[in-house]
Amino acid sequence: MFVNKAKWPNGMNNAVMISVNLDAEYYVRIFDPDLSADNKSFQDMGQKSIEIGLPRLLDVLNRYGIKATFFVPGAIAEKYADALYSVAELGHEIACHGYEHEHMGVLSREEQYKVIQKGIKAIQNVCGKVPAGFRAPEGEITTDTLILAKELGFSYSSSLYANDTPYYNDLGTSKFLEIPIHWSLYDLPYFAFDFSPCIPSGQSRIACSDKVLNNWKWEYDGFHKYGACYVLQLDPQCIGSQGKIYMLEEILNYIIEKGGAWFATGCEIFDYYDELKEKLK
Amino acid sequence: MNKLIWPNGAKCAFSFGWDLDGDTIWRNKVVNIPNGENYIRSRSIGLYGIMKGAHRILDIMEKYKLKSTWFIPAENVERYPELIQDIVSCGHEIANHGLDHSDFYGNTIEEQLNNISQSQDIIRRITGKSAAGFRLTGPLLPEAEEILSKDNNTLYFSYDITEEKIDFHTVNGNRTSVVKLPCPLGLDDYIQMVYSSYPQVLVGQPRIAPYKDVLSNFIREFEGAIRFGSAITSAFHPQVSGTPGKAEIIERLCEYITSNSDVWCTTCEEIATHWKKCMEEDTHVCK
Repeated sequence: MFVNKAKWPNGMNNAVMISVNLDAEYYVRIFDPDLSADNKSFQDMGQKSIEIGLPRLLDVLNRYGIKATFFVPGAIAEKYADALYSVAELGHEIACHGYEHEHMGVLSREEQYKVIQKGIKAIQNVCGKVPAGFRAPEGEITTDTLILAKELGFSYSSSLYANDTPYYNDLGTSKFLEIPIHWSLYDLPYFAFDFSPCIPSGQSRIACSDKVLNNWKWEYDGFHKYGACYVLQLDPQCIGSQGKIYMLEEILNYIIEKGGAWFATGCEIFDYYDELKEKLK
Repeated sequence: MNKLIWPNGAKCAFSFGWDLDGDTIWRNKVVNIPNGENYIRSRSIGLYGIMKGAHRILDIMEKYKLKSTWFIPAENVERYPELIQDIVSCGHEIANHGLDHSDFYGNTIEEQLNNISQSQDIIRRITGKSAAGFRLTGPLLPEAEEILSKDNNTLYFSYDITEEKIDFHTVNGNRTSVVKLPCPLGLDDYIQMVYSSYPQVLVGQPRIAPYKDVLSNFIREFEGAIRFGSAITSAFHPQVSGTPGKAEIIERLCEYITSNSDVWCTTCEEIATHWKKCMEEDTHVCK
């Protein structure tokens, strides 16, 4: 066997991180990172996601006693300050997702620095705490993005796709913990839709939610079997809708029934890896 | 179409074709846009295949005692010699998948042949022998193709997604002694499941297919191959099918293959060698 199971705290079998990308209207930049979100239809989607989807999502997390990690663009933290403050009050981790969901890959080093810093400040102002986690807004990034995130004090990134267990990004003079993600474990790519501008760009039909749930279960079977780190990415405007919230309940039931899952926030995963690193010294 | 008989009475021949592209395909997509050479995010999707997917696939192949063929851009053979040794030591075949997965082999015959010999040199240096098979990543000039076909090292090309029939490769209508092993679209995991919103892969951002449907498509392709007596290979990618959940699709496919005596599953090299020998001796072939 080449691939061995990862080890998790207290002999747990695998890790599960429920992450929420609280993009509101900036969700459109997932599909076109250079698009303006200044469009009434996008703004309405964003507002509904906070007013309807978010409370429903929080209710499920509360019922299952699970702490999630919320990645939020700074501008959304400011715009929906009360909502975000209440998320933080419930004990969920609040992490940074840029300021206006910028396309880091097209910004200069200085510009990247400014927007990440602005994102941190916005979250700090609203929640009273400096975020420890960074997920680059969708779109491209450069090694500079990660170097700057580390310089600006983040403990970990959750932006890349190169593994299914956390690993260290080599930044030359330092290393930076990466909690990797997968497109197949994200709700929006299966369901996002808009007529104008076209989202997705080819206007493919929305997926069958039962089949998407099934993909998540197949992946969970694998992550459980291989003891890997299952990171779900959710957006309340998608998973929080009346026809889709069942997907979250069902995948959580599935995970819990299988047993051995260590539900962790990004910070908890970072702390565990940091301890391991100390032990290895 | 004539029905061929494969070893042990199998009705079709199949080789897992694993394209270990790593980040080459992702880099090639962004390298020409401003600052694109510094992009690292979409490339990390490809690196999954190197960091985890390939070894997981090797474990699965070992579990089911199956041999397969790995089409690897020479650049990756050079960058990851230990991984290549792991693949070779498990008994799998290493085949040629271009120098850097570029679709441009050069403007002239000489440039193109030089490009190919560079990749063969790298493969020979790392694995001890040249690749017998090619899955070209772009078009060659007919003259270059002819010279490559006459090279004693060249046994087969695996390229034709529209063909189902194993045959001799032709250049300008003339039959060569190189075997053409088809790779049908239905056995490509990438086009059904790869996803990146930016750069758009696939273009138009279609949804990731349901895994159950993907498995069903694969099985249907096998049922067709058995029915029509084909010899085929796949374009599977460790960066796609190596993730924990998609590896389950591969496991179930392996279960199907190993429990079905109608399928002869081996390397592309063995299929091509066997078929060529049969054709030359005119044996084992029902006409």
